[in-house]
Parts: sequence; C-alpha cells; structure tokens
Amino acid sequence: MGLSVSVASAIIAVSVIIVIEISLGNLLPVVTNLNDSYESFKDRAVDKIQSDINIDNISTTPNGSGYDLNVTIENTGSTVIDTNYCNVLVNGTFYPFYSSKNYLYPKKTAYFTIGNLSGSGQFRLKVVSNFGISDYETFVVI
Amino acid sequence: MGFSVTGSHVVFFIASIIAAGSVSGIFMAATINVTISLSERGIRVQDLLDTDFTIINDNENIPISGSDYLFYLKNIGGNKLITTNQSFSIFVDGEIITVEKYNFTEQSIRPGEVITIYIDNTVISSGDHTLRLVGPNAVDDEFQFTI
Repeated sequence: MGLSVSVASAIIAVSVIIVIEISLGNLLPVVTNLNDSYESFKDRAVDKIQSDINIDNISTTPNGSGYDLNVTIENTGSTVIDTNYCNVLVNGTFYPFYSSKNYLYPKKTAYFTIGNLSGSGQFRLKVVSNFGISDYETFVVI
Repeated sequence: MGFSVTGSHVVFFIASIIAAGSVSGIFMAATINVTISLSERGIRVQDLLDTDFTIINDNENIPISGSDYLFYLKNIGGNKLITTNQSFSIFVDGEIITVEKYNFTEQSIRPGEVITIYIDNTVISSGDHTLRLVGPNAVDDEFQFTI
C-alpha cells in the first residue's frame, strides 16, 4: 500500500514538473516580447503627447515658371522630431521636400523646401510630424 | 490466504498507477492547452500594441485622381502594417465600403511611412463626411473631411 502511494505520487510529481517546464518555456518568451511591445507602446504614446510643431514662416522664391516654397518649422514640443518621416501637403496633395536638418530638437527650427510648385492664389499648407502631429497654415501666391 | 493478500496488493498497485497516470495525463493536456492559448493571446496583444496609424489628409482638400479620392495613411505604430483590402475595412458615414471600391498603392508599409488609399468617388458625395478605417487587430482611426 505504501509503495502504491509512493509510485502514484512520483508519477504526479514528475508530470507537474514536466508541465511547469513546458509552460515556462512557452510563456516566458511571450511575456518578454509583450513587455517589449508595451514599453514601445508607452514610449510612442508619451512621445505623441509631448510632441508639437509650429509653422513659423512661409515664403516663396520664383523658380522658372513656378516657385519654391520655403517653410520654417519650429519644434514646440519636448521630443526630437525625425524630419525624414515628416510630410508636407499643399492644398491636400502630398509633396516631397528637402529639410535643412534630419533631427529637429526642441525649441529649434528647420527649413523645409518644396520645389517647383505652380499656380497662384491662396494655398493651404499642412505639415505632419513623424508622430502624426500636424500644423496648418495658409499662404498666398500672387 | 497469502496469495489473496499479495494479489490484492498487486491489484491496488496497478490501479494506483493507472489512476495516477490518468490524472497526470489530463492535468498535462489541460495545462498545455491553457499555455498555448495564453501564448497566442499574448502574441495578439503584442500585435495590438504595435499597431497604430492615422489619416493625415487636409480635411478641406481631398485630392482626386481619375475617379478616385486619395487618402493618405501614415503608419505611426511600431511594426510593419499590412495594407490590403482584406486587412482594412473602410466606412464612410457608417456605411461599409465594398472591397472592390478601394485599394492601396502598397501591400505593406514600415513605421513612419505613408501609403495612399484610392476610394472610388461614387461612394463619397459632396458635403461633410466621416471616414473610419478599421485595420489589423481592429485598431481604427476616424477622419472628418469635406468634399
């Protein structure tokens, strides 16, 4: 009777150890990845809240039959803005641009140049940061 | 009499091994199933945390190309975003748009990149509208605009 109880206990104990081993082996990598994703999510949320941009100035320079648009952007937030992932829309249309800086630090300005635009009248400019934060401004081309 | 005692001990021994084996088997199967489900759930939550996007159009100037309105979708999440008609559903003023009425310029975009969505102009009349994009893991974004 004593041997039966001992052997049964041993079988159950071994199965418990195997289950713990399998569970930990499967769950630990998932928990680690989940923790990394949560940290990244938290960082993006904080960056988004602390990020802000302002269009300080807009000027145009004649270029052949069209003009170049020069936009001064100020980082009014407290995060660093990667200008490679910023976007410029003129009257709703996406335009490629050249930035004077790759990284725009807080309280600093960068100059975005959009080349070879055409047309006259009032235009609406939208600049979007890498975090999706944006600012609007209008300008007139005579 | 001696054989009876020994025989009954053997029967009890075998019965206890069978019972312990059965309990262990059921316990292991149940626990492993729970572990697999937790792992899959963890991966889905991880995908959810890594997915984020926003529409960056100018609300008052929606560009048009041929018979399509153009909407710009920016990936502001932490992972590559799969952009297909199957991974995204589009609603205009609460009405779902059928998949043949819109398409994307690329199949996927990396974080920080922008993709253009072409939506047939027959599904959007002039006036004020709300566009709702529902992407992978049911992450969504709403955008109010005027045509």
